[in-house]
Amino acid sequence: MDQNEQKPPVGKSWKQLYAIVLGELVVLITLFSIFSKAFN
Amino acid sequence: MSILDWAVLCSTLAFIVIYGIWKTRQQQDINSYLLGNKEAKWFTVALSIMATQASAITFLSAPGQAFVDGMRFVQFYFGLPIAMVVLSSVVVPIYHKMNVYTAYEYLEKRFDLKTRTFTAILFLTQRGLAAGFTIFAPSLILSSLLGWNINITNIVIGVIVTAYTVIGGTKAVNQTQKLQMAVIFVGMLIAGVLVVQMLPDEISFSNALHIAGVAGKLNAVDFEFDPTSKYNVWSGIIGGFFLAMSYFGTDQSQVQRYLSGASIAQSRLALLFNGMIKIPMQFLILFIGAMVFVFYYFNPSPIIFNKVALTEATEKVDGFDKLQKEYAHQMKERESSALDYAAALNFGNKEEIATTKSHLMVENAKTVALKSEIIEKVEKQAPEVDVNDTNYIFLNFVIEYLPQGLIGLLIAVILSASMSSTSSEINALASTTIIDIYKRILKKDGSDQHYLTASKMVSVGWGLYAILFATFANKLGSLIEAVNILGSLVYGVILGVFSIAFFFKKIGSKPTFYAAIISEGIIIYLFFFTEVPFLWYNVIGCLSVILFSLIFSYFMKEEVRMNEE
Repeated sequence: MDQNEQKPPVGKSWKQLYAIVLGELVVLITLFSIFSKAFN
Repeated sequence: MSILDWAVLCSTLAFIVIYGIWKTRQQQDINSYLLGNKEAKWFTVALSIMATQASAITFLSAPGQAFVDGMRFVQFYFGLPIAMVVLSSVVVPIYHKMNVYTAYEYLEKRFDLKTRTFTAILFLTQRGLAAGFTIFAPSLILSSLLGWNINITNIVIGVIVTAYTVIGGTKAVNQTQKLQMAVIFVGMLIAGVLVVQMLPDEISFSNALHIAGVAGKLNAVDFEFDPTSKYNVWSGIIGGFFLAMSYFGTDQSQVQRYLSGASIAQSRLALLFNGMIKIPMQFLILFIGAMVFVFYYFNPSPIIFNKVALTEATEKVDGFDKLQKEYAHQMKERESSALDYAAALNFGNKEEIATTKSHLMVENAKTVALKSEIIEKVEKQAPEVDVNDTNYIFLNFVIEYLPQGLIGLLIAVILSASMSSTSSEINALASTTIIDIYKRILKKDGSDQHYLTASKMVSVGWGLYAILFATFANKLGSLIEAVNILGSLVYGVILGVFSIAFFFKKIGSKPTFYAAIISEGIIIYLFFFTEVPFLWYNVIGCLSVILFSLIFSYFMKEEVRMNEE
């Protein structure tokens, strides 16, 4: 894999993008949990 | 449907198809036909991935699912972002680097021809049947609610989708899917806004949320670990992860989407984008269903949303009219309780809120009990009537309550979703047939032009097969069920084979092949003799292949064919 392929089209690094995707999952589960508790 | 609806529907679909064909009119070789010359940017690939996964049933069934069972179905997608990260970091670079047309082509380079052919045939069998079902399912619902002829609907959808897939190949699939996703997003957004706006003036958005919550429809997350429960956080993360790994990592209809990316980086980013958008999108679709549920507190709701089944029940069940009146009366009682609860919420008196809430809960329970009693009676007196109406609820709402023009747009959403999935399936079926079977086994020395022509002919063949299957699907009720079961029966094992290929570089073809056969036997045993929910088959199938491969590889020493590193 060459260096150009290493760099993502957006963001600083792939690790950062992976962290964003997994972080969003944690945030969504937390928000959904709060949402469920608030109205059920 | 009004003339305006027809105009919106026909012009939307015609524009998408003509645009797709026009944008891709210069196809010259097999690479551009099957992989779109690997020119697609990440955003195009991402929309194509999403459009392939979201079939018409997604948009018809998910709101109905929330209406009946609440929003807990969203947990089914919790494993998907994790799978996207694994695929993006490990699998995409391997496929791109090996310069393969299909996922199964990689398996020959890693193992042998027999493993490649075995998985390719499993894919062709399962996906071939599914392609017909993707056309048939929305046709059935549209024919019931709009009175359309089901065979003509099947043929029209099938011929249009086959035409542009054959003419433009992968590029046409990608280009049309971009527009189809735009239509889907706009249509669903408008439907979501309208359903809330159409609630009575005295019901605020916050009131609607509380009413849905009291009925248990906003149960988006359940942390309790129960292996027998279909949807909770744990089955969603673990089972959903394995399912997403199998579907996105080994199913050619998805692999072909990201293989068309201009570079490894474009394909990787497309998968990550899908991982970020999918859960919020499904949440919103389910939320629309929960709001439709609240809408029917204040508007007449049929006992059965499938109009054909309702007519049959009226004709065949003794005293059904009386039962309908009784149900309507109960709905009025429930409406009155909901209005009292909303008034108490707006006033803010805690005691009054608690009283009206418990009253509403009682009325909810009475409504559910009465409906169950009526459905039980229908099942007893007229077992041939299909009382499972989950897929009909949302479209029934659209047709009965949305204004002219928007009905046409929402039906365009359904047909766009159907065509976007079917086009990817036909495209992938043609690629696998040509690359893994025809070019590899039957005719190895053809020219590029020969394989291009053959790909087009095979695409026509799979399109006709899908239309034929859809046409006869009505008479093959049990086979449709079998299509879904077949998918869950084979996906885990295929994922296990690919997992060995990707992650266990020292294990060769023989241990993997025998482990796959034994694991498939275990899955079949679980299916016939246990109550294990199907989502777990993916986990068990995959882990079983890995475990047995490790054991067998200890006894079967053989030279590993290649290593892509």
